[in-house]
Amino acid sequence: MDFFANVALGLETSLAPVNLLYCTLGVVVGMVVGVIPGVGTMASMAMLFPLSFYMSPETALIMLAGIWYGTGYGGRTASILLNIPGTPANAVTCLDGYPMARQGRGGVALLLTTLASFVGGTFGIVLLMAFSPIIAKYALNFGPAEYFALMALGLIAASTIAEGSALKGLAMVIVGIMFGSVGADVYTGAQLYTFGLLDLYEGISMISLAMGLFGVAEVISSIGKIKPGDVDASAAKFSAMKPTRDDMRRSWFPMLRGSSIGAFFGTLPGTGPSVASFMSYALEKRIAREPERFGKGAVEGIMAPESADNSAEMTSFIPTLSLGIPGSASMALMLGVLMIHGVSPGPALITEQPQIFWGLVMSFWIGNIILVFLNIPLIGVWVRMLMIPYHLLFPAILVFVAIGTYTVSNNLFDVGIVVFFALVGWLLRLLDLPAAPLLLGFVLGPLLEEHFRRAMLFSKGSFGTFYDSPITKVVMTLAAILLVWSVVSALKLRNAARTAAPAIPVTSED
Amino acid sequence: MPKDEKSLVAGLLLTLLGLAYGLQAWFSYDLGSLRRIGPGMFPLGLGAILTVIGVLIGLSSAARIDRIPRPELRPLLAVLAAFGGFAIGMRWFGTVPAIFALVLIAVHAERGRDRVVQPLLIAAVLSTLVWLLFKVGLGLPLEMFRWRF
Repeated sequence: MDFFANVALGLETSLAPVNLLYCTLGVVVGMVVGVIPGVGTMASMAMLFPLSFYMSPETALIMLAGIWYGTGYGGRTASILLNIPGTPANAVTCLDGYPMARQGRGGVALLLTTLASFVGGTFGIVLLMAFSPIIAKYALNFGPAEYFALMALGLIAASTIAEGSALKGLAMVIVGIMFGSVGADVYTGAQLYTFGLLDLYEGISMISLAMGLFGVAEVISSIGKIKPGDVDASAAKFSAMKPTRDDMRRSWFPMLRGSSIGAFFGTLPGTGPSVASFMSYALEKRIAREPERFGKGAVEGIMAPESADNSAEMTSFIPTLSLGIPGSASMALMLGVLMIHGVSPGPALITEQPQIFWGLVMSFWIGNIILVFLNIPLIGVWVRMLMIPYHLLFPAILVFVAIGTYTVSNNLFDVGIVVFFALVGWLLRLLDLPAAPLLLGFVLGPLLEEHFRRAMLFSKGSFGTFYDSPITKVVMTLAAILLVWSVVSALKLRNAARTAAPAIPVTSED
Repeated sequence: MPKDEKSLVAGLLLTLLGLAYGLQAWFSYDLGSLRRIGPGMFPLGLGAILTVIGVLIGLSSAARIDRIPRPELRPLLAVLAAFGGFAIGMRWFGTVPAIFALVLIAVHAERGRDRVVQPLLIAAVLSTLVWLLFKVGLGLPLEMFRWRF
């Protein structure tokens, strides 16, 4: 029937040589990026983005997605062996993974977490396959008012739930939308906020913005601060990798629980792998019979978060692909890629361009499998990579950003945009303003406005249309609740977030 | 009187941005009517909302204490200047000089490191990589050396 035909199409697409190639490239880059601290997921996705111009949209997505979930696999290596989380989502893995490495069980930890990631990923992919088409089909009945409401809710959720001050997150979303509005107006062609600059007529280049705001800004703040650690190379030997029966026995349920938590938080906009891994660790510790084992090398403490992390990575694609609503900055980047390739994201994507959706989903399976095979024998290699000094690395990053940006349009103006947003990014870090919502607002802003105007057009100027149908009522009420809660909690005192500091990650990479 | 410097400055900047953006929409762009919304209406709304949020953030600075850390300007300026060097190189001298400029300037971001030999090597390696990847591999129009005068 339909489902199997789609799966077959997906397999056919994802197994095509070009897609296999770029899937492998993506996951390898992702793993490397995940292992090396100081190079972020967003930055690497942004850097490989210019390559994607020469590919079809599904290939581009397959590659970028590979980078995204590949970093989870890689980040865990740094967490376990060095106590340095390669990605925010792996921060929790340090808590029990590093002690395990100190006990000489680093190899075991690496092997087991590979398994955990694979299980989590599988769980997430199955959910993705099952639910996205259903949601999409239902969503096809949505009108512009519903879309506006959903997008607004997604943006509000993404900016208020994540880190730090919700008010600041909201402000940044709006700033992002503002930057997105630069250029020609969709309906009238009028030039907005371009101030006569010809280069801005088509708007600000998303990729330049992303590279500057996330890539270069991160480099600037990392210079001089990243030091390669001492790695215990013997932990990477094969013989050190066999898990005990006790390990396995203790792992099954944590993996299951972790995958479920991951699936939940992955689907929700505003939360992603980082939150999922934290919650999962907290849950395991709470329900454990001997909670004092945690923090000293408890297997459950690494299995659950790693499953949650991967599961969330997969299910993050559910709202993105079925509704066209990204729950995080990385998802927004992928949507942006689709848009640049001329594909409009939304519920129609699954039915109109099935090869994109199913090809991508199937590539997740393949990518996960590739990662499993890459991880095990190459652990020694990753360990060596951890020792590359940052002062050799960062010029390379900058060069690739510069050249990559330039080759997109052969225009130095775009390089200027990168510089501008690098400065903006630096300023944001200084003031504790989150950058991820800015990208979200930038990508979604134009769409948001379009739906708004269309809804108002249909309703002949009545704002009531946004509270008309059952969907809009529910969504807008939720949005209002979130807004009120965030404003109230911002005006109230306290840095409860600040005191939890070391454990709470900057979720700009989710 | 406790004061959150970060929120204060952030609030100020955001309020100003919101005002500037909104006023530009109000005065320069066609707002249309509610029935037929013009290009300026949405921006006006955005500006208004941001102004309000900016004020709220600024006010919230009274609630806690936080200092803005002394900014480390060296990495920032080095990287920005490096890109400037890249631009000059690309415009007048070609890709390879641009890469060399970028690397040689960027390494000034760190004190006490080798600023000549290692960077030259890095720049050379990167130039070769870029040539291989972008020019040979992807066939992109990148002039390695040029003389535009």
